[in-house]
Amino acid sequence: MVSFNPFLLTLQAEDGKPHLLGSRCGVCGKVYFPQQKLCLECLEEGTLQGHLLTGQGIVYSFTVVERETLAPKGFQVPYAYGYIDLPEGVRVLSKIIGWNAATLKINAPVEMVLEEIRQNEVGEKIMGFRFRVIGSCG
Amino acid sequence: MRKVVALGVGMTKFGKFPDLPVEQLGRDAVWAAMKDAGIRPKDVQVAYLGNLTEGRETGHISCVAQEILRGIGVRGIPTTRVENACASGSTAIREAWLAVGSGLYDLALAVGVEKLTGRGPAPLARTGDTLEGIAGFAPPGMWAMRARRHMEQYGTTVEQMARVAVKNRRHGRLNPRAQYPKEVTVEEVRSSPMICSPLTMLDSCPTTDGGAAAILCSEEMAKRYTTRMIYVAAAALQSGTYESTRNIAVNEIEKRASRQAYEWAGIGPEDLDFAEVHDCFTIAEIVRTENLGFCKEGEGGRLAEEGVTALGGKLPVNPSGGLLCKGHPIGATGVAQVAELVWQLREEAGERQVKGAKVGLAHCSGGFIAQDTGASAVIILKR
Repeated sequence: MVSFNPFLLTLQAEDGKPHLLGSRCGVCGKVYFPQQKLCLECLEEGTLQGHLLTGQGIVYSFTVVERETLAPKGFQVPYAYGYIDLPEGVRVLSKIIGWNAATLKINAPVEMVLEEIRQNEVGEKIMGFRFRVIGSCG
Repeated sequence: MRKVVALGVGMTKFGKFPDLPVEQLGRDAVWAAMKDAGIRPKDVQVAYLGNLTEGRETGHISCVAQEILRGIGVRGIPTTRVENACASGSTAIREAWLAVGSGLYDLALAVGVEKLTGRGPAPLARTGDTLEGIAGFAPPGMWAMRARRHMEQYGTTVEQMARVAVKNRRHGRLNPRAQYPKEVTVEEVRSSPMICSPLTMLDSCPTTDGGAAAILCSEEMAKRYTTRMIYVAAAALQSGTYESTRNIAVNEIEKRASRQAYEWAGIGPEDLDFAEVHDCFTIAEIVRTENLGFCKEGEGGRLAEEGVTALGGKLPVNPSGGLLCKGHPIGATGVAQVAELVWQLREEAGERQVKGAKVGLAHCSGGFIAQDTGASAVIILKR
């Protein structure tokens, strides 16, 4: 198994779990995803350090793509994607899985999971990330 | 800055023209604008092209502006292509305005052109092992997500959105250059195929080919050609701020761009007689009428519903039919908006004329950058 993009996603961090890779500013505390070298608040060199995102969040907004001609290669309509707000103050664009019409809504709780997006030329699984709806929300 | 006059404008009919090369669409628009202005190709001192999609995949390695203009005798001058996604044409207008307003040149050409039919994936699509690529990003999705937030935060309804399509189709039916000059009903908009929920096919602008051009010049030079001066009072441009947890139901970039344009033109939104607003989706016109200051935040849906923005209303929006009806050949769109402003201000807009129009605004925004918009242009014309 390999990450679709090792700059964005590690399959196994020091805690043994997959994480999205962000950066955190040691001066102002702002968290970035994807990783940044420069804090856009402080605009000073060397304030940012690597930061593992927690992977639990809520749906900020979403859409269900229903038109086949709009779906990128490898996507079958209907599928959902949207913005996920993480408690670190980061918003991530992601495909959303494990939903139905009753559970997919603004503020629905979601968690990051890995999903195979394809195999490479030597047969290794290329893993991407998705956010999965947890139960239902009120 | 000295005063800048919009001396002449032109555009092709908008539609699907699979057999017409992009060069011809551009040249037809430029020729129409030069005829309208009463100038010859050798009179153009500087030229700007707005275009998004020409490139390696379409067989244009580079310098497509020069390729288009050489075939119409506009040569031996500074020539530049600008790209700001859907605001590319408006950016070309702004560059021409700066070139003349600064005093460096007396007469400038802004042309916008786009050929989209038969050209592979949708413009602004994202693919590959990127965040957008593996999320399944589809361009209408951004506006679908804004629509959902707008509905959640302000109670905007899909029927209010549909009313924007109904209005702009009604306006565009009166425009001989529009791609789909046919009226639709609220029911037809809602029952057309869902593309990215909650947006349907008729909530969305079509795929369009077309070109548009404008000749801008100094007031002194304009006196040789006309006594009816239409001034470009402002051409403001802004980039996004890309705040990571911004409220996407508000396009803050458009507030900044319009505030600057109003300031430069010395007017407020209450002084406008009409506007051409970037209605790539029905919800986009609703959000933008709020951001441009035509109403308060959250009231854009009501504005469309109550007919305020219809021809005959207090502030007609998109009398040309807008992108929803006239079509959206990306690079040409912002220039075509300026053409509509000029025709309205000259009272040459025929059946869709806004009576007594003296001040008009054109707005285009483009590019999805980190949940924000890459570029926003607001242009104000006055007679």
